[in-house]
Amino acid sequence: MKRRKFFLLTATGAAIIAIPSWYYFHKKKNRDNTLLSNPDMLAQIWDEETLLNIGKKYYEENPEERSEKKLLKTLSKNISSFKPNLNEVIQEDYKSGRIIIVDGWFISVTEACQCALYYLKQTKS
Amino acid sequence: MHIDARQLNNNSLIEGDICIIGAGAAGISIALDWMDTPYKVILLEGGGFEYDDKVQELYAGKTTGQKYYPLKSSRLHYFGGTTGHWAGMCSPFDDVDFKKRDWVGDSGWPITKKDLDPFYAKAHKPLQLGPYNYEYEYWNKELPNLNPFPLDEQVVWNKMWQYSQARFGKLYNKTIINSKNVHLYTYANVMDILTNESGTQVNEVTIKNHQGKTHKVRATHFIMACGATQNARLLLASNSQAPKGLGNDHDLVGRYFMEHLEIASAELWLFKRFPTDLYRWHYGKTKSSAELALTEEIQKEKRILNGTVSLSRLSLAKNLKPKIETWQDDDPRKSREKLNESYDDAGEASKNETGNIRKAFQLNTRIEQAPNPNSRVTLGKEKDALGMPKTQLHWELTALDKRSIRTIYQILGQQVGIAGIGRIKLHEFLRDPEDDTFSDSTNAGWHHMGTTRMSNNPKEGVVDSNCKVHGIGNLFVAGSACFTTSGAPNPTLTLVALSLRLSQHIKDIINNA
Repeated sequence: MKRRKFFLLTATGAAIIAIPSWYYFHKKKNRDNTLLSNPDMLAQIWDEETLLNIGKKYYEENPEERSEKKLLKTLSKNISSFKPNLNEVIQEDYKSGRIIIVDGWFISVTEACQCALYYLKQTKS
Repeated sequence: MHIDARQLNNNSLIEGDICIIGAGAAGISIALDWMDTPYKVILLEGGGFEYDDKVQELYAGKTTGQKYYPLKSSRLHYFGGTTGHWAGMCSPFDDVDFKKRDWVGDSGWPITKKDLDPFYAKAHKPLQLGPYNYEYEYWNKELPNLNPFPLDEQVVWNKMWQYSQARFGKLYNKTIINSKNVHLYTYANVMDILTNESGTQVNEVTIKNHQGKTHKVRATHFIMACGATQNARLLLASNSQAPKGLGNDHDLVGRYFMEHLEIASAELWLFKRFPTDLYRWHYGKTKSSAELALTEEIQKEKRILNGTVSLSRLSLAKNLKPKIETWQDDDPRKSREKLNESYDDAGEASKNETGNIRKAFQLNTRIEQAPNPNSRVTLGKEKDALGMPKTQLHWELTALDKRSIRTIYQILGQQVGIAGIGRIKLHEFLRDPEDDTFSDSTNAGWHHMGTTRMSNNPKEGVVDSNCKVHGIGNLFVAGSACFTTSGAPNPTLTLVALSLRLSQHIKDIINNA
């Protein structure tokens, strides 16, 4: 009985952790990843080389975010149901002063992560 | 009336009511203000009506500190002064420029913008400008296509400019020559200012020229209008009675030399073309345009200096050499030629630029220099051809100058992001917040200011709020030497306004007497 209860509790606990994680890393990832790793707005002014360069610099200067998963996590935590539009998130970054300088560019943290993801994606492929 | 001082008999005595030393924008504006009055005005010009290299050489001197233009070619020395080749950019100082700011040491004029407003309006006449109105809303009704960037007006505003093409030398020579009461003496370089024994009144000035002739000028009131560098030099060199120089009891003459920093600082890349003429300037065509400026509240909050940001096409600007590099010839005509060549070369190179750069602009800072007593004009050991000690300029910038420029772009970068119109890239020299230095490619505006600064306290300024030299009853300084702080705009409009205010003050003295 005790063993059965233990397995039940463990399974429930695992499900509590796994289901949102699966949603987060699978469903949400599937939904947003392409968008997240494509800095469309910035691509209006910069060529691919510049985007990659910014991405590389951010990636190198922020060792704590040196993985696709971590970058996605940073990006995703800013996207809520209230701000589903990435451009709005970026604008919110500017309003709240979440701005960094990468290679001289004043860009939002979200944009920097986007560029870093884009860099990772391109270097992998 | 015009008299060539070279043709006078040696040791002539010239007498009048008002003696104006220097016939540039300040001196000529004052002389015009006294036209057709019952007073005899003596207007002294060191040169003639055209460029003369021997006369120009009298401006030569040495510079130390921050790299600067050759002193010989940084101002023009003939009738009309530097309006002979100026760009004509005019905009008044802002209210904040006159205020005491606790984050800007030695700031605070003894007068306000309001005191100067009537004279700003009056200065528009000799400068041949439009109405004294620098409101964006006014010009937006007057001119087509002045669409502003959609930036937060609480943070960034459009500071309007007007453009003068007035070359005073050509414009006013006949008027002055034909005047009955203004007596213009050319080739009349003032070498010494002589006072009474107690040093409280100027009795006469000594003038000389390359022909070896010396004359004396006596007048009731004397106005120095030779430009900030030469005014300080003349006061310091007038040391036969006051060993430290006239008006220099507190060692202030020549100190607080200020320039405008005019530096390519960043790039603005727009997401899409923004159709507007608001930020464009075509010499001879544009009546009014704007530069981006930060509001007084933001300056106060960030504790920074007042500056503006102008836009130029990046495709052209990135190919331009810094002015401080092209303008290094002692001969101002050759330096000018090299500057023009640099623009032509950049224009040619820009034709090859394609792609998104066509939607990009270079952002150029125009900013006041923080008042700094160590930035100063002194006398050199060498003497010029007429026997006057040459100018020694030590130009020194401060950490506040650098931090202010960097902060302007941090704010602008944020505002452009909020507006969603593009992104800003900071030039390399501004990226390290710990770096307070300025490189040798730092441009200045050829604007000399602040060497006889204004303060009602003789321990803090050389002239009082009426531009009278402290302690000397009849000696006045006209022009940008009196600026307590240098504002962001080019100085000519303000220096003419201040000169006209001084002119009115002397009229009031005479009328009250």
